[in-house]
Amino acid sequence: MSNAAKKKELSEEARISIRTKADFRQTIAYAAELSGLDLSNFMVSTAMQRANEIIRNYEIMRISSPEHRAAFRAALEGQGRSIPALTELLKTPNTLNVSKR
Amino acid sequence: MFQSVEQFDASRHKRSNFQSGTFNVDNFLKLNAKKLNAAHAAAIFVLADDTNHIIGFYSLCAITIDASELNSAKGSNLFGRFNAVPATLLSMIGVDKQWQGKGIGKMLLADALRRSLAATKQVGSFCVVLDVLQDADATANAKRLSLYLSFGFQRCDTEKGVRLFLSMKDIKASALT
Repeated sequence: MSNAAKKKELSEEARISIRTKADFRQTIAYAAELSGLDLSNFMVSTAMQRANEIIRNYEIMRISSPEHRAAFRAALEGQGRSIPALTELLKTPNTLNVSKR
Repeated sequence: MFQSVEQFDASRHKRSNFQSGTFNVDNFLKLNAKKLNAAHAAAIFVLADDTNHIIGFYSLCAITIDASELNSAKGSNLFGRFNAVPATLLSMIGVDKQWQGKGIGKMLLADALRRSLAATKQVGSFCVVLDVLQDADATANAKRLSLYLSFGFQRCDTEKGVRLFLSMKDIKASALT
């Protein structure tokens, strides 16, 4: 690898420093050993897995319960309901006298 | 002095002292709101006091609901071509501790629902979705859930936890009453 390429690769790396309890570190290090990874690689790969999962769930939502899916489908196909408590809520003004704390 | 719910302006609205008591909500306002707002990835609205300190806020963004498993009794295929339903996520809502118990949460929720419905004239969205805060206090959790259900929200839980939706049709029908 040329010096320029090495420099570019290094500049794309980032450092994460974490402070945690000693027993947490021990457990994580043990799990890393069992996975055949060093501590850094294990932490980054596990965090990345979880990060991707969170992003996927955030962007595309899946309704988990069949009962809730049926209710959602019924709402998609049904007429709008007039709900008295919602009607009252929607009348709430969007201004407040902030002098009265 | 009367203040209105308005669009968040990072150069004017002061958020460093905001404390709702919920870590994720406070962290979002202090660390993420400015960046997400600037990128138009979230629309953030605030109610601030006369010195521009934020009293309460909420955040809206777009979300997609997987429709591939929504079996229709009528066999209709409303969103079938895309297998996805567009929705509006009320991703954060919070009121500063000093102002809690004064109906500000309801005021922000009402504003978010009205605004979400109005936005569908520009970009389609079937419903408003929100997560119900679940903390260690089971009684408070049940109270929060029952309040949302009383407004017509319905359960659409995900693997992550309790999630609710309210259709734009319901908001529109209730607003017209």
